[in-house]
Amino acid sequence: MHSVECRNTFFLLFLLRNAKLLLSLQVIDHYENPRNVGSLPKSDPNVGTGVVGAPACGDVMKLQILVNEETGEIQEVKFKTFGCGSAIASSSFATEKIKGMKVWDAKGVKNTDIAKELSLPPVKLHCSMLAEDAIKSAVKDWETKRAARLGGKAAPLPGQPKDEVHV
Amino acid sequence: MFSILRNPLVRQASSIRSRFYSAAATDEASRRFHEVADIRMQTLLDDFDAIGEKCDAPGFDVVYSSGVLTFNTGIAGTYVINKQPPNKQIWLSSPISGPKRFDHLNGNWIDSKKTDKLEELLETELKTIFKGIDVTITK
Repeated sequence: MHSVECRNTFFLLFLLRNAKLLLSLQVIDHYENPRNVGSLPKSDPNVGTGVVGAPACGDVMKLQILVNEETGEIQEVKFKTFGCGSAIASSSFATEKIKGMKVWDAKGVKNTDIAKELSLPPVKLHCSMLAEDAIKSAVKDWETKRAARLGGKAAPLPGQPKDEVHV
Repeated sequence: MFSILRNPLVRQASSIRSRFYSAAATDEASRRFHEVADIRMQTLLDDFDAIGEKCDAPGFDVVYSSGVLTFNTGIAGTYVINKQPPNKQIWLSSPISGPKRFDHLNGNWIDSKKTDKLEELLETELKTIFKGIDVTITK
């Protein structure tokens, strides 16, 4: 009995070390325990919605942010992704990363950060790029809504770079 | 005389004809894409093979299968270049510059940010990777 367990453990360790895992352990984690899945009300003035990708290509990501209108902090993030494990993991990780960030800092999240964190293989780098696009799209939507709402009276939020203020 | 248009068979025939024309237009654009993209992919394959003949990097490998070109440089990571028919694009994943998508515009494959040409980008990067080897990417 004991030797069988030993053998199985060694076999598993051997597999993990030598097999070319198609999905990294980080991707598997996000796939099985995705963070922040869901939706926010699109009509809320402080919600920015970004939708990127195309079903024909196999990936669609919807990412939504709820921004505190006084501080510019991203209070809530939700995502829904249709696609491969790497696409789901990329968008899940993206929501984790930008939650709590100021909205202008979230724009700076790069696909390389996501790809490195998830150990994405070459063929899946496009998923991380899509997640970066999804963040930018959500931020842009929030900025557009805010500019439309406040027009010329859009004052900079505390800490917001001056050239970021949209009028 | 106009009552013939109300004949269901006539209506069906004319609608089939218009459906055929619109389907043909989409197929034509796809056909053109595959034609141009296939030439591009095949030429890249030949160029990468030519590099392999001149250099001896361990792990160097070039495979082209089902529209996906996988190029393991052996020393600096792996390139994956593939046709993306729904978008009529060529997608590149570079171990140096990451993911990019290229559209065929005015005879050139240009990336979506309109800053890079596919052939020029590859040639610059591969010349850096394979220093001292004559690297040419056919335009």
